[in-house]
Amino acid sequence: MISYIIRRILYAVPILIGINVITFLLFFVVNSPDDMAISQLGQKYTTEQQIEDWKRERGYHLPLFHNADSQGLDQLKDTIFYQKSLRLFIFDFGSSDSGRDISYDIKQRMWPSLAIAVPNLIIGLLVTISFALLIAFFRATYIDYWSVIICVALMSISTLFYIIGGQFIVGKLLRVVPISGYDTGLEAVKFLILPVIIGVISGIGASTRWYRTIFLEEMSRDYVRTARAKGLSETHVMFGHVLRNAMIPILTGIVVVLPLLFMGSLLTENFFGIPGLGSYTIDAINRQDFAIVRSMVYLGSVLYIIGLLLTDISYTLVDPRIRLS
Amino acid sequence: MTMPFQPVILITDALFFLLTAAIIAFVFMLRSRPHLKRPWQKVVQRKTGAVSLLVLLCYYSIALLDSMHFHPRLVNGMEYQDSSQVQSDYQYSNEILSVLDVIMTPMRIQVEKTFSAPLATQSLSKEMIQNDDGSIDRIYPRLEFGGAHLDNPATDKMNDIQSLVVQGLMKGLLIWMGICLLCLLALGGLSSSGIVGYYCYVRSGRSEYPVATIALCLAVIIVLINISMTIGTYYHLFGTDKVGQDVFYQAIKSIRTGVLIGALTTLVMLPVAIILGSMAGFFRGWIDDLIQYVYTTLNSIPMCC
Repeated sequence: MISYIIRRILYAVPILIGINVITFLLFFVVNSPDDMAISQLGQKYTTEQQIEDWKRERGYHLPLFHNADSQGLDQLKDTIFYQKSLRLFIFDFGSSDSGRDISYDIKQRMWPSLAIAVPNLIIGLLVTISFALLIAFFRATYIDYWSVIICVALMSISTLFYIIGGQFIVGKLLRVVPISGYDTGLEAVKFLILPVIIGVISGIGASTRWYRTIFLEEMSRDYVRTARAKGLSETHVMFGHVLRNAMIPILTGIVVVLPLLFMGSLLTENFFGIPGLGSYTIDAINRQDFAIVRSMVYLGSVLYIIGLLLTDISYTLVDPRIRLS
Repeated sequence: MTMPFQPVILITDALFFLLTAAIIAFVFMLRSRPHLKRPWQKVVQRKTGAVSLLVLLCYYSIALLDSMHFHPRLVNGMEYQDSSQVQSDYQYSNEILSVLDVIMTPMRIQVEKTFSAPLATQSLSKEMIQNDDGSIDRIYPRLEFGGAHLDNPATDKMNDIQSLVVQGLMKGLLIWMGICLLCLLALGGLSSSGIVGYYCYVRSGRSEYPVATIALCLAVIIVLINISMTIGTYYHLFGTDKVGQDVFYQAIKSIRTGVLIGALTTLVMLPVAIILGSMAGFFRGWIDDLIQYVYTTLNSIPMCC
């Protein structure tokens, strides 16, 4: 098992290098430091000197790959690629274009993101699994038929609509919770209720439909027929056999997104004014702060790879039929 | 030289026409290949399949209408209205319009100052208005176009909207009946039993296709289009945005962008993906590893950023 995990981690290294090179190409070659300086300082009335100063302040004045002016190893070290991109490997994100420490910001903003994403995931999972089980229990009846129609309707509506509609009804008309904002400590709960509820509702349609398919597929298996033939009650069959086996694809589907919970949700956080990593990214995009965007893209990729790794490991844990070879 | 417009084909338009031609060619190809035709027939024979196909078709036609671009002709510096205008001194406008723009002309050109609510007759925010006697009031000013034909919006608006809805409904139903009649004539003319025989055949429900469902869905679509168009001529159906543009018009205009991004990226991606996928499966070994590596790397970069 341990040698398998080590091998998987080693597999991740070339992928990380690939991601690093691609993000570097996207952020420094396609969009050169000069372009960044101009987009920050403005096209008009900007002198060469101002652009040069702006780049020097942020370390963007160095050559991309090879510095001919330096000596020895510094030829490679005094470059943007070494200073900006390779440092991402040790999670040294440096400072943003406006001079703030990105690592500090990420550590601060991680918690509000998690405070929304974790309850959202857990409640959403409980709701959708019970809903899907219910539909699967009443399969091929009108309840099944109409539930699927409602699910398709729910998943066809844009998340934006749920967010704005929820803010309007719950926040403005009923005045139950504040429309947006955030607070420290336990006070934060009242700001979190609405985003979590809306997150759960907007996820119900798609997940329920998916889980229903999984349940129905399990229910048509031979072992279910055998369990029924043994004379087990329908509840026992559903919870003891179908649910347990259906949990394999469901759990492994969730494990992929577990690490990405840190990243938060771009839309939800932006609309509810929650200072998480999602709104951090959106703000950075709006301000054209490429140092932050680059760090977030890299962080997202790393978390995704960790998710893939966890999925493979969880497969072997949940399903004993899969052998490590 | 007497054309009231000068056609323009943008690159994306060309791609759209290519896509349309490909779809039509595919449909014709299906006719001679029963093994491919069968599954599609089954899709159309199901009610949900037929309705979904119809809605998609409607969506696609709007995108196609929005892809037919041209320079409108200017008459004395004004947009071409009708042939009664002076024909002598004309040139073509720099502006590029699409057929959809022409259909939705009132919504395109009726631009207010700033935000207004859906179906509103007054602006969303108060403004200083100077009266004739010099005194200044802070009121919600009337919109320049939204409900401008009403003398007393507070009392007349609901009745006016109701009559517009009825108007649109009637117009839509008339158009729908026309289309149904045309389809009946065309299909009945093609079938061996004649038009009347074909009608009886469809009415009796013996047709393999859910004709009644398709007709009902078509009626809903056409009536909805007509109602929104009639209301849109006099009001802003979804309100106006920050710079006063009609939101309904912009929503309809965005369909082309959506179809363009969705359909064309898929079209470009699909051949590449199929070739790479089959190469990985066929050669195995290091080629498979390499392709998987490229795919995992590209896949790990978050799309939203």
